Amino acid sequence: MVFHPNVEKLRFDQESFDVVRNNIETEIKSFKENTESYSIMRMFENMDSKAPFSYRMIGYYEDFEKITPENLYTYYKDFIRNNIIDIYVIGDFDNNQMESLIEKNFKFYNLHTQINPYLEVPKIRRREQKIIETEELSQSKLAIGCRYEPLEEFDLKYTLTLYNLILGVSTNSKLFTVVREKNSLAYYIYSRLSKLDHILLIASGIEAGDFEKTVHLIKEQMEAMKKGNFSEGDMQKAITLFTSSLEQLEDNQYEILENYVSMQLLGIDTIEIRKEKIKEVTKEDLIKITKKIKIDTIYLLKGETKHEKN
Amino acid sequence: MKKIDLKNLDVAIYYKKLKNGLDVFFIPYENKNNYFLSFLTKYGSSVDDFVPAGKKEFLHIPQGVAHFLEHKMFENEDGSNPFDFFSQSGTGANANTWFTRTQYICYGNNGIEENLEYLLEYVSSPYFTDENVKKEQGIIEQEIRMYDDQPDFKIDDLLRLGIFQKEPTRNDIAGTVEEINKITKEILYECYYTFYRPSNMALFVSGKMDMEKLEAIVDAYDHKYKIKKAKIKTKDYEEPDQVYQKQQRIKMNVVVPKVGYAIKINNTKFSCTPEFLDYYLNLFLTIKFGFTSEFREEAKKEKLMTSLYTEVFTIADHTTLSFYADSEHPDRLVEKIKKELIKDDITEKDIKRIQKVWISSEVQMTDNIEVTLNNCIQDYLRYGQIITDRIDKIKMLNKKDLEEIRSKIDFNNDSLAIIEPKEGTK
Repeated sequence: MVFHPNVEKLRFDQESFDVVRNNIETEIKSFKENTESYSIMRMFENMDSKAPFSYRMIGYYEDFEKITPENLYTYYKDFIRNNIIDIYVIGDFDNNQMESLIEKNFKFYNLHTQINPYLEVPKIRRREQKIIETEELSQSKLAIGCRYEPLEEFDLKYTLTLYNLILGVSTNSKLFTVVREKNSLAYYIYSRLSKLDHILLIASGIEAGDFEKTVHLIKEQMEAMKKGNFSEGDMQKAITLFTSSLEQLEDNQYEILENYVSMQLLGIDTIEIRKEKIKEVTKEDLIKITKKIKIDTIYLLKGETKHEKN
Repeated sequence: MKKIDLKNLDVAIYYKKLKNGLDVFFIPYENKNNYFLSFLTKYGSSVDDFVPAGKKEFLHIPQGVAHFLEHKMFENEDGSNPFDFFSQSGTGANANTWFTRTQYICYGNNGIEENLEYLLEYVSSPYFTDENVKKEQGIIEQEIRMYDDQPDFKIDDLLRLGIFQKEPTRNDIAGTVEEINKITKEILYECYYTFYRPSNMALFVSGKMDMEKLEAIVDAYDHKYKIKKAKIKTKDYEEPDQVYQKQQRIKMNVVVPKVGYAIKINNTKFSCTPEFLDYYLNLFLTIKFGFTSEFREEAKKEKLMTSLYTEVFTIADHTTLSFYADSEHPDRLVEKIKKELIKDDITEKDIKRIQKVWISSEVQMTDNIEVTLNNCIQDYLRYGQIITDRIDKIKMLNKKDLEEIRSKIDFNNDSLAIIEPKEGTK
């Protein structure tokens, strides 16, 4: 399939091309339907419209229109020939047999070279920007993009991870506790790291009228972290969550593979090392990096409610 | 405990009924590190009228109570919260409400005994106050609004409104903002003490475990919660066999229309068991509309749809064959589905082909502790027992019985729901 796709006269089979084309067209057109991911994308686009993170992975209609069975095949040939290809296999099999099977069936054009997947660290906006766009929606979507100044390797790998865990990953995180449990402002709120882009994202679904209040509470939590207002217990729980999710991954073949892929691609440490290193993060480390994290863009996809009667 | 072997599969289930009536199922795995716990009550959103424990009169409750109750069980009198407890051992915790059950789950690889003990304890200790009820209304309102904006979710809601006339199943599990604002702590307590009795509940544990230790924990729970069994009286909604509305169309922020289409069937009119009825209906949908079906290939080539999802859904005496699709030509797609449903072209060869894939997926599923646990729960809720010989039964499926079942279905008893783009939506 990989080396002998359904191709005739240097073009992909028209019929199967059309089916896929139709699917992708629908996907591009309905991008806005998922208001959560749409709002996050709009936030990225406002943060830096030229950065790779603001490129929509599903693509753009203008480019999509230009794709033909011919130029797609030309691209595919180039893609297969000039990209790094890694093959991972997991399960119950004979190593030698698998190796010779792969050697026999995959003709490699390219020898392994290491690429650097991390983006250049961007300039951080001096003052945060606030963007509000309006749609006819029942719920408003909040997306906050934070950036951080260059961090040392250990801090990037571990301190930042721990910071994110305490701030907004689990149901006992700072953001969940304050925004949802104490103030009933949201059903979901979370923070997420996108280390390749040097971004920390915070997202939630709220009432339009609660926008200022929610942002205020989020900032308050980030300030509290800066001042060291978190306990040893908070750190301990975050570490346990981190280690136990690494251990749980071992029951799932697919996740084991994924883990190797990220180790290879991103140069992250092995599970064993990660479990040890995360414990070395100190409260001082955490406070030190909080000062380097800054809000860049606050985006609200504001819902205007005009409810249709069903 | 009683050992139940799953035939043709390397899985055994251990069962016991406690004195207080709780059904307990352990599904141990030697080769796994993780575990999965589910503590459930056979109570969900499909009950809006019942006789509360110790009373004689029926009580009508607002929509969304079961789901509201699920949220509120995370409140403890001493101010602590279950998420905090579970996080000490890196354990994930959650809960969810379905039409016919509410379940409290936790999963991880540490501290199974402490977590089981805690799970049983916190779900057995309701603590509702005016204040904490009010607090939850804000959170659930945002949950409802979140789903309001999701067309894939809305199409399902809309379709159920067309299929069902009286059953509360027609309503959204979470209720509406208006309805949940009517919920009070008194209503929650009435529901809790009626439906959260051990005799209306079950515990499922799968994964790595020391069964003896777990058994001691459930025995202690049995001793502590000696709650009398009671027959629960819920209203028979006398749901008509006819669909409620043939067609509904609404407009939303979609670019490509969403289609929901369903056939409503009275499932008590078949000579086979409910289990075989489910197998045959699933077999039928897979052959006709599955990933390897001609229908799917044709419809995609004709650009009638980009995605299609089918489902056999059963609630009480009614079963639906449901279709969900994204389609630029909803009416033409539905015409095509209708034709396909009555086209008489299934062969023994088709059945053999699907059986093979089905059996291998049954085997594969047992490698996942969560999937296996969920399958057992489904069996328990739908058939009142764990099915131990599913593979043998799949092998028995044949054309003659399939045709007989199909001949009894009125394919004109259908309901169509379409979400169309608003003017100017791009």
